Amino acid sequence: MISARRPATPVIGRYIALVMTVVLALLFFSPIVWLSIASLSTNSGIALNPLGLPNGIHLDNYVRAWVNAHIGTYTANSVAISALSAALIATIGTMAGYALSRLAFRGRRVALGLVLVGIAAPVFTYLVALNQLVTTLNLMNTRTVVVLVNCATFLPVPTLLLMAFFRDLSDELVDSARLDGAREWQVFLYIMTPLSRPAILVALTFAFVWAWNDVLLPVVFLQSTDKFTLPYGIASLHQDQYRQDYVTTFAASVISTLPMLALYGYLQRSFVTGLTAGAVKG
Amino acid sequence: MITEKRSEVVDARRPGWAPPTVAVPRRLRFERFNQTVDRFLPYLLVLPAAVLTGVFILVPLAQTIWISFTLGAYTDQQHFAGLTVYQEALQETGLPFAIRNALVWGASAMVLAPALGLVSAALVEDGPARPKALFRFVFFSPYLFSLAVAGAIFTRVYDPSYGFIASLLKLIGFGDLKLQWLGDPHLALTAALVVFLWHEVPFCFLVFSAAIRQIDRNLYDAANVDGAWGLQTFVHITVPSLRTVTTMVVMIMLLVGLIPFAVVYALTFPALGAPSYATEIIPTMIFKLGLLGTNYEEAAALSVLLLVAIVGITLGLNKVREWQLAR
Repeated sequence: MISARRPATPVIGRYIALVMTVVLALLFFSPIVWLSIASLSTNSGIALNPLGLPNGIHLDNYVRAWVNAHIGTYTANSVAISALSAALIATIGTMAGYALSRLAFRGRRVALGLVLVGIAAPVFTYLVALNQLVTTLNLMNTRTVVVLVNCATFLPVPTLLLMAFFRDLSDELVDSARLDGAREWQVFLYIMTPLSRPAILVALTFAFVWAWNDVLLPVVFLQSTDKFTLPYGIASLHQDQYRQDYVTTFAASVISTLPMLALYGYLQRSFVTGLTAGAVKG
Repeated sequence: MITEKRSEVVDARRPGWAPPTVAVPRRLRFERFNQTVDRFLPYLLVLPAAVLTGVFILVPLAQTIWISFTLGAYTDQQHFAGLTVYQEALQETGLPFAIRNALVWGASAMVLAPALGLVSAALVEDGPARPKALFRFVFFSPYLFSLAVAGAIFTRVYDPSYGFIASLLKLIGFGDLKLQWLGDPHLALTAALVVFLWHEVPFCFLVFSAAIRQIDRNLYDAANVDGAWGLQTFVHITVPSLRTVTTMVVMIMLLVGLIPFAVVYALTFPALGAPSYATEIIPTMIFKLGLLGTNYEEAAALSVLLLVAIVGITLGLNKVREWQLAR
């Protein structure tokens, strides 16, 4: 009995660990399984037997969600707003991050302070005046203002991330480029930016996911349903005629995960690079 | 210089080319342009970020602080009023509830979410469950929904008649309970917290599982040779190795947990903070007073209090982090 020589704990421990894993997994996953199955059922089917399997596969729920409940429009809005915000944040963050980390200039500390203000002050601390400001600027109920404020509020963290990345880049390439007569803007555009592509991609992902998840700015700034984003649209579904319509809401929720699902593999990697870079052993 | 060279090449190819006779030679103009760009490059690069932050954060922030010390905001009669507004704001019925909820919510967010995330990450990465990729996906899956969508889903999960939880309870013989998860003032906060944790634990899980994969495997092998297994290696290797990551996750969770507006919004709109202030938080108060209503001054005062609290917490956490890094 070779296994008897090993300590007894691993065998029992492994079973306990396995049971714990499965129980925890079920806790997190069961609502998703429930809503995915229910999204194929009918409302009367759910009312009769909420936990049962659907009586047939009703894909028309998805069509109804996409067309009648405007999930198609919401998805388009969400994708457009998040992608545009992410692109702008990555661009502006790269520019600012480079200047703040590698260039010496008067007023650098002030600019750095601006970045930190953005981190320390969540939107709610200035929402009242921001709301009035947007009204005054005549930007209320436009997707543009959601993009702009997204950019302002989500900019600091990607900027800090890029600053850290730029700071760690070696000087050799830059010095040799300068010796060859490259201008400062050329150093930035043709040398540093291509080198920082991995960090820019991480910034892009972060910004996209944040903008994608955010519900506050659309709630505050958007009024007409044709401009709603997915989170706002789906959260509004159960306030109107879809209140008792389980299947449409569930189908809508399932649809809303698709873009994130497509990003899943990539998300895993870039989230981790962004958050754990060199942090494991401190 | 690159630009300059290119122009020479192009010009030299043309037959019969002669130097231009303009007052300022082209090359010199480029030179001057390049010098100007170089001199102002830092400012050009910082400009978009500064304008966005200035217009959409700094200006409204300053206005909010100013408004909180005045009466009659956004009218002709706006005037300085000292701390009057703060006195009124502190007497809001919802405020004690909001503060209690912030404490409960903040504590749960910074303790429970990282703890559950860490345990599930260790179970998946070092445990016996296979295939790992499947379990990684399962534990991460709630994060595929946005927080507000999670809230919308859970209004159905919590439904007292046809909801998932009510049906499960019925299945095991507690059908008569008919718990009004979101309608009962004693249950609503817990119910909202569960939604928050359901969504945020997967985030913590993602970070921890990746961090665990980066820990040196030799540490575990050595421990196994010494007869340490499972729980022991978790306590003595996994947890200490993840110290820095843990601090960061805790910080993020605390800051996220102090402003869980999306959950409360999706669960309770249009009666934000219902039932009877059970899920009231400072953000919902600000939203109701200053956006749905017109009591801008009180909303501004609450905003300033929130700002002070969050800046204080951030500074405190930074001190903890510095202290930890210095060790």
